[in-house]
Amino acid sequence: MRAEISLCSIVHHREERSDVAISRHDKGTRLLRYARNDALNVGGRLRLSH
Amino acid sequence: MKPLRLSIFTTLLMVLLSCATNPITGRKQLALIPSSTLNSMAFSQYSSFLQEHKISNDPVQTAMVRRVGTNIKNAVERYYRQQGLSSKLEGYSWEFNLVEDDLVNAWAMPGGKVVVYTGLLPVAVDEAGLAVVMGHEVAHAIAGHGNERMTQGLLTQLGGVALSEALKNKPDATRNLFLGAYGLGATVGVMLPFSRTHESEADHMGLIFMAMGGYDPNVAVDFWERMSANNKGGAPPEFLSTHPSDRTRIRQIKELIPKAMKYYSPKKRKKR
Repeated sequence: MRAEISLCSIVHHREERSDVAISRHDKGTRLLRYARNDALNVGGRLRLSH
Repeated sequence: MKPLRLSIFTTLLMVLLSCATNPITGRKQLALIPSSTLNSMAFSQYSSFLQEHKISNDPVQTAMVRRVGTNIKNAVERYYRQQGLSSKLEGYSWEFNLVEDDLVNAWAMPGGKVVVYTGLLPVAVDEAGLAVVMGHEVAHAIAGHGNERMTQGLLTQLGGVALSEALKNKPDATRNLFLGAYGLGATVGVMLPFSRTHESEADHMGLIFMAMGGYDPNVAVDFWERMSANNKGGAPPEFLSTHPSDRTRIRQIKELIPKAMKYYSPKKRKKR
């Protein structure tokens, strides 16, 4: 399962989401961890990577 | 209590505890992700974004973006304090940045992180026009739309997993047909209408917030007419769009202006 953080923009763009995964940490702590960072793509042009 | 009943009871309890009501619009919301978790993720992502993109070095424009954002943010915090709702704004760390890009857009992340692109400024024209945008973005952050969208995404995926499990003994072609229809139905029938509801709500709240910040909400109609002229032919049909059409937005804003004017006082804002 993947949880996606959205950019709330003022006008429509083709892709406004950055994918992240919700995972269980080794110690049982619930963490939100980046799993795929190639999708923060504002207007298909701006990219965010980790 | 049997395990199945216990899990249903726990799920229902979690959903009930995660329900909230927007204090401005009265809309019921479901947000399952803890704010602290969402905010820390957004702060990290925002910081990375700023490192990888060119922040404007125009001191006048940058100051204007920060001044308008701060004026609106302060006014909203004051209003929430007066209403005894300050706890709803805990964990926010507001930041307003101007980024060099020709895109005519601006966005907010959970926790109060806002970016405006330089391409938007000619359409905004002046500080009041920019306040329409900043009010909208501050509204997204305060309304917790990021959390709601993430929650909807997770629930949609959960539905997909359940459907896939239910169809596991069917032929591949049947499974693909049903899963494809589910994906399309969820996007066009649920996710996009929800997104448009969020945008209309951000317009609604933003109009009130800009008025609280000392900016005339009537300016919003002119702003959206300029945006519409700027975007001629570039927008998808409304039912396939994350946002309402410009025409819908202008109509809704005109209807809301009398309500927003009750909060308007031009003396409230800092001008420098």
